[in-house]
Amino acid sequence: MRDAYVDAIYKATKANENVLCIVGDIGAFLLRHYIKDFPENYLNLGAAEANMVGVAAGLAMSGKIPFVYTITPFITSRSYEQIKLDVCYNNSNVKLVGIGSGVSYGTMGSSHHSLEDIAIMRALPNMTIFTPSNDQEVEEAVFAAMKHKGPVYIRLTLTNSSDKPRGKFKIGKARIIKKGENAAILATGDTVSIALNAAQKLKEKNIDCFVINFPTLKPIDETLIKKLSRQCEAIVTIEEHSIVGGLGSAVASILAQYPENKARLKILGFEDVFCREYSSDKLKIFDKYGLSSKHLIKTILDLLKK
Amino acid sequence: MKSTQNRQFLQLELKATELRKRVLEMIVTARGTHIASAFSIVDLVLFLYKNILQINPKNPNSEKRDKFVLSKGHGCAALYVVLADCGFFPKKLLDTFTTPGSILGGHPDSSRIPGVETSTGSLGHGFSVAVGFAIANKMNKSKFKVYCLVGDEELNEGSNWEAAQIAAHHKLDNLLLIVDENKLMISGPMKDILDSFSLKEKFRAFGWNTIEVNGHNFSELSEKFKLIQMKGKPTVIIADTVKGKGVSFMENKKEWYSVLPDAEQMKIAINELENNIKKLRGQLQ
Repeated sequence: MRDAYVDAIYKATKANENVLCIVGDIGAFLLRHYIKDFPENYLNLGAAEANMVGVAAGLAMSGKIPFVYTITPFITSRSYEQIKLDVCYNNSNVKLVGIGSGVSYGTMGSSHHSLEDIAIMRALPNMTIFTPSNDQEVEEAVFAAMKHKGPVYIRLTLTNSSDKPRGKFKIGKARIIKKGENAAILATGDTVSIALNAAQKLKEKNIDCFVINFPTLKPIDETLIKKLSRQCEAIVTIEEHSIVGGLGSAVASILAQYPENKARLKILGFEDVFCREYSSDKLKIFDKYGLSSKHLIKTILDLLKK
Repeated sequence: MKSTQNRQFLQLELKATELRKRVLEMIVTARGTHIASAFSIVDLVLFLYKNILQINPKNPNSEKRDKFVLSKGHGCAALYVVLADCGFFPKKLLDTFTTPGSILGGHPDSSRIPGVETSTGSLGHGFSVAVGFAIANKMNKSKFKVYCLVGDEELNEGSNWEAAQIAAHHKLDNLLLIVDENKLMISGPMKDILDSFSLKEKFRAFGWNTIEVNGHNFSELSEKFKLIQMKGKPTVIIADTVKGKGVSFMENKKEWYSVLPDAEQMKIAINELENNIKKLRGQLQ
């Protein structure tokens, strides 16, 4: 997704001269063509993220559209008060872009992980959250962010995927990847491919599962979630995030307040723990924490049995 | 010429004293806080709005304007009385300070108050936003300037020093930072609690122009502002101020950060301010 973002911000700046690419001292090599072609739109504000977000708010309130890019925990939790006040309270047109979200930096430990970013960003009024699951959605998210007036957080991982989602990207709309009958898997980001894999295996057992991709987590596609809850007996959410405050929490909140819900829900994610495993292969970490298609299949089967 | 100028400074002094009285009444009526913090900056804010800033209260969002950021948002009562005096909003709104439905809260909200460029309240935010304004002005080749007022205790916050470094690196000679150096923290004197040492030396080391001034002396403020050469680097004005300035028993006393005067104290404070108003009016006649 890193290359996809670099391409997308290049195209966005070409489309709108007010777009700025601000970085916290990362990506200089990948962005070399951008820096050469748009030197006036590029700012490296160093390893000083709190200030970087405040500066971006000032730029946004002067008519610019700053995309502020650095490693996810540093743009989200480190700068959180600036995001709350300078960006969201002012409703300034700042786009925060976190790279290497979740446990993408699998060998680097918790300082570089972000398993709480969705939770804290969801809690802020005015904030819109995009969590692309492939390279095309990265570009769609960047252009949607550019056109949307107000704060946006784009959560990127390091996974490259050339899967082509069908249909138009629309803020607040989920994408139905696979239709199903009485069970649904709701996923976002890098767990979408795990969900699809699990659904294909379940099909062999004659269980037809919906697979839904949520490229927007806020606002979330409440209409589709409610519709699925009327039709399905089992809904499982799976996300590269804490089970506290992410996709699963958002879905649970809707279902718990919806009288027509008939689905049982299970939330899969990091179970309120720090990730203490190291691996350059994200799937190995996912396996350890129950984010595998195998565990997902078992979860669906258990829910349907009950 | 000199006497005209002196007269203007006397008029500013009179206005500042009248505004202090208004600030005191507003905060006491609202059962609010931060009297001393507001008194510390009344003169600075008034001087900026009356003598320095290029602004049009009738068109507060005009692209052709200087921007002022009150980073120490808790001193907002001083800003509100000056904004009202300049005509950004009707003076009668001051009576609604921190009451339900009012646009004037205990910290400034940019989405609701005409003339407020960014919401502040938590320390160490306004300076970075001001740096963003200044970089945008450079990008847009705008000749307008950005002014930001921070407190000396506020400079405890590390984000300010991130902003200071960026401002110097980007040679933001369209940015002027004013430090309200009243030397008093909530818990007591800064030198006892958390010494800021020499702000002048710190800013110099960060690559800034530095100017020191008495923050309550309009003649000196005017003189020093004329001397500022904004070229190639940002400038900081370190203003020597007195927390609680204007009411003798409140001056340099940490308690008046949050305490409200009782009826007797209020009478004494109002008397002192009214006597000074009378005296200044006499001098102007």
